[in-house]
Amino acid sequence: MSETVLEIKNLKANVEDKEILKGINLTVKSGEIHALMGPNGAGKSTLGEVLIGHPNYKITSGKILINSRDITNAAPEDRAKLGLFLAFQSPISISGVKISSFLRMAYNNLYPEEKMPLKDFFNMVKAVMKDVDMDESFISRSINDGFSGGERKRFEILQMVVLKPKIVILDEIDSGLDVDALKLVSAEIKKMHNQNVGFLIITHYQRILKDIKPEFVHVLKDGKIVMNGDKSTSDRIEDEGYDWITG
Amino acid sequence: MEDYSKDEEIEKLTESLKHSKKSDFEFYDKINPVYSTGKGLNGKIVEEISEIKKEPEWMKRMRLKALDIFFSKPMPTWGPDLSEINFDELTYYTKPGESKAKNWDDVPDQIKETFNKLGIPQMEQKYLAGSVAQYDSEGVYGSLRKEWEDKGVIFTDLDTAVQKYPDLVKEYYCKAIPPSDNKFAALNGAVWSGGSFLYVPKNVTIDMPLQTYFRLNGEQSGQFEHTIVIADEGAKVHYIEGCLPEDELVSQGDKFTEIYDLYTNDEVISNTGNKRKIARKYVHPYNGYMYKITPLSAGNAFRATSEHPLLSIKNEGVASRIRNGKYEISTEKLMKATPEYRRVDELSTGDFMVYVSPKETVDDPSMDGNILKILGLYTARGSVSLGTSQLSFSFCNSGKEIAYELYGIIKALGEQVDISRVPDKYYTVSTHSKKLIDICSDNAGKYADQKVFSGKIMKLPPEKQMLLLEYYRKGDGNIYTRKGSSRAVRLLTASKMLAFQVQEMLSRSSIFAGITIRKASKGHTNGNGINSKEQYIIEYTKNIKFSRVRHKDNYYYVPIKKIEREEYNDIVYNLEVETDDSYLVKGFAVHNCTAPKYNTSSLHTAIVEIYARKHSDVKYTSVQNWSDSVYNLPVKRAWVDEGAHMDWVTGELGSKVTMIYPSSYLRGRGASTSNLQITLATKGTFKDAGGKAIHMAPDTTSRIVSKSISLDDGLTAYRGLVRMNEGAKNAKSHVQCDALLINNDSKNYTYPYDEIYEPTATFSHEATVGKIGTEELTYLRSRGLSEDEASSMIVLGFMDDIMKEIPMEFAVEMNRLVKLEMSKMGAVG
Repeated sequence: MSETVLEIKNLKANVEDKEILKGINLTVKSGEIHALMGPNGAGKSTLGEVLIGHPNYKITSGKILINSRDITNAAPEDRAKLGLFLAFQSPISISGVKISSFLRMAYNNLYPEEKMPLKDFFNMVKAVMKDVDMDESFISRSINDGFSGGERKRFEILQMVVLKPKIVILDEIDSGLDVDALKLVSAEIKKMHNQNVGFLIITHYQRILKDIKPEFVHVLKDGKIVMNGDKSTSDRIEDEGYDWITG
Repeated sequence: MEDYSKDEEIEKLTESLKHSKKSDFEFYDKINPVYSTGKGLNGKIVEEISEIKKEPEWMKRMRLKALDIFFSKPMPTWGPDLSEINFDELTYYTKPGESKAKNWDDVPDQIKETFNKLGIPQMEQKYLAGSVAQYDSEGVYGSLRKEWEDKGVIFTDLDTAVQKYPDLVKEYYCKAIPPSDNKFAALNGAVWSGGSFLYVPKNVTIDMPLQTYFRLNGEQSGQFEHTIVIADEGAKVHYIEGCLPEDELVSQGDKFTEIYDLYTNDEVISNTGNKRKIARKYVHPYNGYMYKITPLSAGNAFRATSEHPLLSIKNEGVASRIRNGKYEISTEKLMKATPEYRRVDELSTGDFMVYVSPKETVDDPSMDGNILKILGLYTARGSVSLGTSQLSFSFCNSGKEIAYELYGIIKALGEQVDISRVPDKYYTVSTHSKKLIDICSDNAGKYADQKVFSGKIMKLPPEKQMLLLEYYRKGDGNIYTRKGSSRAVRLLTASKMLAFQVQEMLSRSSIFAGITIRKASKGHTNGNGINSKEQYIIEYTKNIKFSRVRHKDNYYYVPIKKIEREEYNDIVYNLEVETDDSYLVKGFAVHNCTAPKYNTSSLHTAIVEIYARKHSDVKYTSVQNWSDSVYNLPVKRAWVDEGAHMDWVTGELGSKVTMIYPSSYLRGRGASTSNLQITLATKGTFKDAGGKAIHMAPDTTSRIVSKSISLDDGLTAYRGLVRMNEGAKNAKSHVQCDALLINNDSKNYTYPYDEIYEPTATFSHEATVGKIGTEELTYLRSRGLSEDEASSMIVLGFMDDIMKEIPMEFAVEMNRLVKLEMSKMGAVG
């Protein structure tokens, strides 16, 4: 049974006084893969950040629902607790904050009932690290501190797998990844897709879409979704760019 | 040791301290000083102080000279505003009691109470060894361990040292910090009182906790202690605490818990047999020897670090004669001996440890004879099948009688019961009674290797417990005749906890049972490859005189059979226990942790002079968390001679104004120093901190690392001096100062002074100022962390590289404070 995990209704948002999102409508059900494409500056990353509740943006109208719960004004941590996860386009580094304590605290906050013993938890994390080809030693390092672009992306995927969200937004996950790393990442996405997780894949190019076939493709231009299509839409964008789409 | 287990431990400890109020450290009580010089300062008062202390003439003259200097120097204006300090309103000397106490009993009750409130462990006289507890301006208590005396170590308060070792004091007093150095050094020189004097002779290493507890009383009185540490050539002064590995079982009276799982406010049994609360838990990384002590009852063997004190009686003291090179124990002498705390590495085979039986008794009328008999048999022979809701007991053929007795008991209770029999094999008694199923599984556990008695059972009066054990034995045990013809009982169980519980129960009825462990084996006797589980064998004789264990009140003196040691490198644990300062490891009494404490005062102008002579090694760690009305203006300085090393570790968390710049004068070739500092400025406070390194000789090295955090409108400043004198060839210095500003109002200033007169010297300075950014916060929050958690994590991350170098209990304290402050603040920005 697929349920609606993410519902965006006529969403408008400003940064300072400038309107960036101008009325977005989008619904993602569990087990679905949606691609959100569009030229630079269309507002793709903004949508991802508005969805997680980034304080830099102000929602002026519309609604966001996760599992039918209205989270339009919810704190970022409450959205995470409902199963929302964003893999950031450029994950920030935070020196001194160890991945081990960060992941442990995040997991315990999301799954307070589980009370997973320390050793079991880190064995689980280490197993995922192996899957995404991160050395175990990363566990004692600070968040993204001195990480290469590819390592940052793999760490985002690691978090995605460990934190077991229900709806995942991937913002340009393929940038900075070499071919082999992209394969590993795609494999993890597929695994989660099989577990009925809903995906919204934000991408400018469609490199990632070669491995992950979206069922729905949306094109965002100037803060509005101007086209809702399927895989053929992304194929045409690959060949012709965005100019043929008129908003 | 995995890094993350240490982090997790800090987290858990912090969590367990969450409800501990800061007010624990901030309180006033009423003690009328026996003598006070009154408010204000003049030559007459200084002379009076000197006369009260019956000081030699030279000290009186030095005080008066310092006073002149104090009056002649203007108030420093280059740092924080000190104009609110009114020297006429302070009391410079008060004396709390009649005279210095020689032992704990002589310490006035009210002062003891104050120490209790502060959570300062009130230890027995012997163990306070070398720790000088200072109350107001007077050391009220001091003692010195004999072994230190033997090594020539002197550790006492400075007042005593002036009387007893005048030449030594004269040689060092105010040499590193003369009164002419600054106004506050002069003030201390004029009115100092108390403080510690430590002298460590050549090539001696000290690894016992060296702490001084300070406490101020009265809102306007100042604290002017003067501390002198002299590490003679090759001496080492370190700070170590005794501890246990994580899996040692601590007695809680009704159960035994791994020390790892105990936290603040949990209750444990102390050496008196009473329940006491845990005031704090301590965790350290430890690299050194771990001792395994095996008493006569081998199942009670436990491990502890070499300096952990055990309640014990030395064999020599209680031996009546020596035969064939062996001691013969005199029961009479043993009964008269008083157990004392001794370090593990001072004990040897044949010495006695003390097994303590808990006192708490709570009767429960519902636990009547019939129920106890059923429970005893259940422990031995019973099992509960939850699927079929059936309680059944199986007895072998020879258990016919007891099987029928049980059948009769249950029937008499009016509960449903059956008995069945497989001829020549076994009898089974079974019941569907929900009441009995619940009683059995609630009070004695469900599966054979997890059988464990409930708290209710463990507290029953001893007679009732003996009835239960009697039926446990009837179901499971056997009686046999040991050599020497004493009749002994033997019980067998797969449950470790049950074995220790039975031992504890028996101890309440004047019986000491030995526990031995039969290791798990891979079915060589069974022949079928069936693995047998680890078995615990409990053996005892009802007449204790056949045993080598002696019984006195609720103590059992148990001889040590074996002491082994091994290298160990992992986390170790200790507890601080209220009132009795002790706890029981598998029933045996050990001393608890002695912890550093914090104090309150309005003006704190202490002097710390350290003399690290050739090739010596000194580490001086201090963390203060004073109330935010205090002016904290200490002067700390070390002379570091050839090849010697000086470590300063400073945590400045509390106070209204702090000015602290621990300094190292690198006087000999190859001298080195490291100066680590964390400062935290909360609302309305100003922390001016830093360090000085004066390179006076070739090949000297210094490192200063300062991390400061400003919250709200808090102000931190780094003020440091690195001077490389001409001729300090190849001297090296690195200074790093990082500041974190939490709010828009938070401020930080940096004043680095570098004076490099030596061309071959190298010097580097790094400074950063950072803020907690929205991006960082949002990232962490998008993963489920609350705003408080996210900002605490960022702040702690900022301090991470210095946290690694400070003792773990300080790290926990820092962690707790940061979290407390962050949660008080609300939104960041």
